[in-house]
Amino acid sequence: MANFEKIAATPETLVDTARSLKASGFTFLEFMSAVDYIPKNKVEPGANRMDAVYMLWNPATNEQKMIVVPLPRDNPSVPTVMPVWEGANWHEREAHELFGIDIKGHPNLRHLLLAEGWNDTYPLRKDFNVDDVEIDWSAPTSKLAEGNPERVYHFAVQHPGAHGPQGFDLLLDGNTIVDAEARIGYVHRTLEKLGEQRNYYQNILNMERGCIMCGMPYIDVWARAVEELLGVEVPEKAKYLRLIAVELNRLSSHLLWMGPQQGGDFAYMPVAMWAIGDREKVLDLLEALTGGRITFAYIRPGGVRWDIPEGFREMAQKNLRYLESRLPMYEEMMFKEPIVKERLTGLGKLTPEEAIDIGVSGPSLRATGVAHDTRKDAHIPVYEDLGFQIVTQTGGDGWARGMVRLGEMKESIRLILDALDRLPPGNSEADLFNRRAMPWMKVPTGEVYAVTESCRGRLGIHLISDGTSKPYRTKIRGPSFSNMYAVEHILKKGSYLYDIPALIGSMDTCPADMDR
Amino acid sequence: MTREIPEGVNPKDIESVLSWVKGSSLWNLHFCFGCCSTEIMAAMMPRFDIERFGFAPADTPRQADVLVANGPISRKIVPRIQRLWAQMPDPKYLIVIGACPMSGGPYQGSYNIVTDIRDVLNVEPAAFIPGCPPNPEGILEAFIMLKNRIKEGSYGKL
Amino acid sequence: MIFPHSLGAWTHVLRIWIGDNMLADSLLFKLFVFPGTVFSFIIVLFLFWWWRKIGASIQSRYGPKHVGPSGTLQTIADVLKLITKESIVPEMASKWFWFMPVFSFVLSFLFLSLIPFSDHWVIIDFDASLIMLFAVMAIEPLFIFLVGWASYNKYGVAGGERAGIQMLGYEVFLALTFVPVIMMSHSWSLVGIVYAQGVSPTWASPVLHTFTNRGVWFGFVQPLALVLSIIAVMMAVEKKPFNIPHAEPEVLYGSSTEYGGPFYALQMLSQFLMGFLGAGLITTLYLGGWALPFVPPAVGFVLKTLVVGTIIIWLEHSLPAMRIPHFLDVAWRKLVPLAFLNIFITLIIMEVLGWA
Repeated sequence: MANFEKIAATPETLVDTARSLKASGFTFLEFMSAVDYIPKNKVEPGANRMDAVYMLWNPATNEQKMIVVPLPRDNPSVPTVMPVWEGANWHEREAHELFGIDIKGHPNLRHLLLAEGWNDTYPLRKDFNVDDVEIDWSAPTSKLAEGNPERVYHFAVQHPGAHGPQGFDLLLDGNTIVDAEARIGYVHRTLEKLGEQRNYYQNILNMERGCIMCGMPYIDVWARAVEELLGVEVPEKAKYLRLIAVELNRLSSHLLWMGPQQGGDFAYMPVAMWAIGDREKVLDLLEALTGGRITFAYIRPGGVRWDIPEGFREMAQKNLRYLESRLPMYEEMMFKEPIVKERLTGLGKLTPEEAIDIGVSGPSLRATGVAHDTRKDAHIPVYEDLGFQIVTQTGGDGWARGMVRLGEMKESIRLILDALDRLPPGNSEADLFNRRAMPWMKVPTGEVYAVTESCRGRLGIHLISDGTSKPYRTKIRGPSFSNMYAVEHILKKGSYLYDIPALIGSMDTCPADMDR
Repeated sequence: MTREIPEGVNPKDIESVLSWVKGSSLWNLHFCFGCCSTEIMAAMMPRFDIERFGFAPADTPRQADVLVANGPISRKIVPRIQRLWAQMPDPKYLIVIGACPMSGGPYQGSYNIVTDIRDVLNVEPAAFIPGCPPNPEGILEAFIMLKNRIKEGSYGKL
Repeated sequence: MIFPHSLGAWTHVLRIWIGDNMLADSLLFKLFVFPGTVFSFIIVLFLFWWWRKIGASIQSRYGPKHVGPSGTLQTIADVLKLITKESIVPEMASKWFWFMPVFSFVLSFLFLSLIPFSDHWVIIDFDASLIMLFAVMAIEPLFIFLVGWASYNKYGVAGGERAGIQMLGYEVFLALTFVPVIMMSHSWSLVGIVYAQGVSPTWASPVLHTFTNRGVWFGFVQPLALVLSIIAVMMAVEKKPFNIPHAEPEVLYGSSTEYGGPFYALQMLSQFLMGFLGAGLITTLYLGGWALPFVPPAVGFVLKTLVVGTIIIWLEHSLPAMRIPHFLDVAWRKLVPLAFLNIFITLIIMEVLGWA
């Protein structure tokens, strides 16, 4: 849980404030976004402004600070902070297209999440009307395609190597990439705007679909954000159950990554198929615990929905021990096999400074040697009691990232089995919490930023409540948004066509996470 | 190219052979526009293995028979779906997996989601399998429904 | 070529084509039935099913199971479905668009004509057939490129270009792996090489094959050459790990991205036919051609080729795809020196065994 300090700035002092904060240790820009206040809002009644917010994190001291720049609602404009943090690039593009904030000095303010020819309506503004939207379908797909769309090589959307509806427009010279531009936004389901339209209970289902392969951390962080605002304390048993659920989800996501994502990049079918076959055993456990394989709705504010079923411990022992025995084989097949090793070594090398500057988090960050894991940094309950160890590698390339994920899988198995052994007695949900009234519960006015470690990196939800039963602003900081920017950054530095699928797979970007 | 049935051959026999052929070899386009694609992928892998029935993945639209609508239809992806559908050669079929392409699913009310794939493609799907996401067994059910409808002749032109 | 000028001359030509008393002697039969068109379709249909079954078994699945007993009718259903699909020719594609897949199928058919299923069941047989075979194998990447170029599709061209890259890697290596066989058998014809492995002729061939009979299958004497040849053939027919021209994650489907329906059926068939023939080449050069005790010659050839083909399919399904620089590096820095070493070893073996 992270509570934060707000620092006010004006558009003129923004860059200097940012620079001085970065110099004092706040080297990680979590996100840049905005909050729209129209006069009839209930958070600050009468306010009529747009706040541009920059959430910063100090990895060394785990402090969070937020720079708030109040702006007028007509023609809001800030200078770009890209000179300070390179990772601000895409965050500013998103703020521009969703809120209408003009970013002065930004190299490329084209639409990122919305369709290319979206007109000048800004969806996340409070006075947005969906009937005003018109899309010009003849707009070019990227800056590279402007003027001459024929010369661009589309490595996007339906391309099997792109792992989902994401990708790049490339300018190629033979097999060498001369220039690249990312194309994302095909799964932009507007979870943030839906968050404002749904009440706190419905939002559990909304937030869960933030990432399909890794939905449990999303509802975990949502529940903790709401609990912080309500002032509810969760029983010990529920904390253990949450850990078990999240780690099971992490296991299934990493197995999916190892199989079709990374293995499928090399058309390495045995690994792809066997990993998914083994993943089914983890999904069996998840189904026994929560009822769902991919979407769960298991964790809710106050605790978890139900206790572990009978026979779960034995089933977990059996399945997870089997999985543990298979991991050395995967290690040999994926990381010691000469062909795969040659393909992964040196793939998309990132230095620690570059990674933090861009905002990369998760296994991709830990592979560069930076030992930061939100589970430890944010003191998420129970992890430290179970002796959680952060897995790191040096090298920063695809091989290191893979080894980190493999290590995380081993650690997850250990955590789950330990948690099951030491499960305390008690209720799985807070007693004083009126479950019947939950769908209509009103959350007192407040603001909180909750973080956790999803399978892909540092996940955060910035929640502003206004005393009604629906949130005022739900900003999701998805880890894959910054990780994909890192891929574009690596491609722009110079890479090859045959490396792209492996690169996207090794950074493990999830389109659902990116586009929200 | 006109096809003329030779003398003495019963058209019903040709139809039944053709429908067996088309139902036994349905190749679905590898096109993922959302969450349900993970379950489709799980359906092709060990434990569920839909290849047993002849349903194999195809990488390019030119080789695909079935477009599986498997996720929320954002406005941005609409022209891509239309183009891929146009690139698929006839006879082609559409099946809908999950709640999103038929009603918007959990994202109803969103400014960026098209709620019905029939508005996008102007084609009636052969099967709707609700769920969020449906089990791989449900996905197999969709393919079998398509196969049966082809065999009955109630869907698609041969 | 002299045009038949009299009735006698015409009769002579017709006799060669249709055969005197045995239908099986005729060229027409060989071209169209065995080992020609009909047989190649049957073997390709079988191989496609076999390829899917082995792949599925390695991947802990079943593969085609319900279409016909154990899935054997699956391939027929696939091919028939492809033929009955609409054939789409893109507007901007070259006017040779439809011709290219046909042409590449014809090329693989030319390859088929050279491989001896036995000294009787061979369509083109002369005393330098190995050289012609090598020339045919060398033209093949050009046709893959033309297939991609004719489709006017970025992915097709990218895939076709990669066929050229692949050729850069394997041509020299392939040629070098043939050299020990030629050294040991003193023959440039494929039938002659089989004779040189101690296989007795099954009929009086009108072609004069010069060879030196060594009496033993070359695979036993030269296991290293056998392994290198299998690798070279896998490179030539683009099997994983050397499937650079049609590496799916990178170039969609390579050169045949734009081809659907019947065009794709032809290309699929020619791809599997080349796989079969590559294995057949290995059998001819190293495993004694058509000689197998207790079975007729041609059946023996097909059985042995299927065994070699199974090994190649097995390797294909177990290995990942190689990256282009790695492939070129391995081909030139590791395999070509090994091929030279192999030639040197052959010289030593020939000295030791007393072969001139």
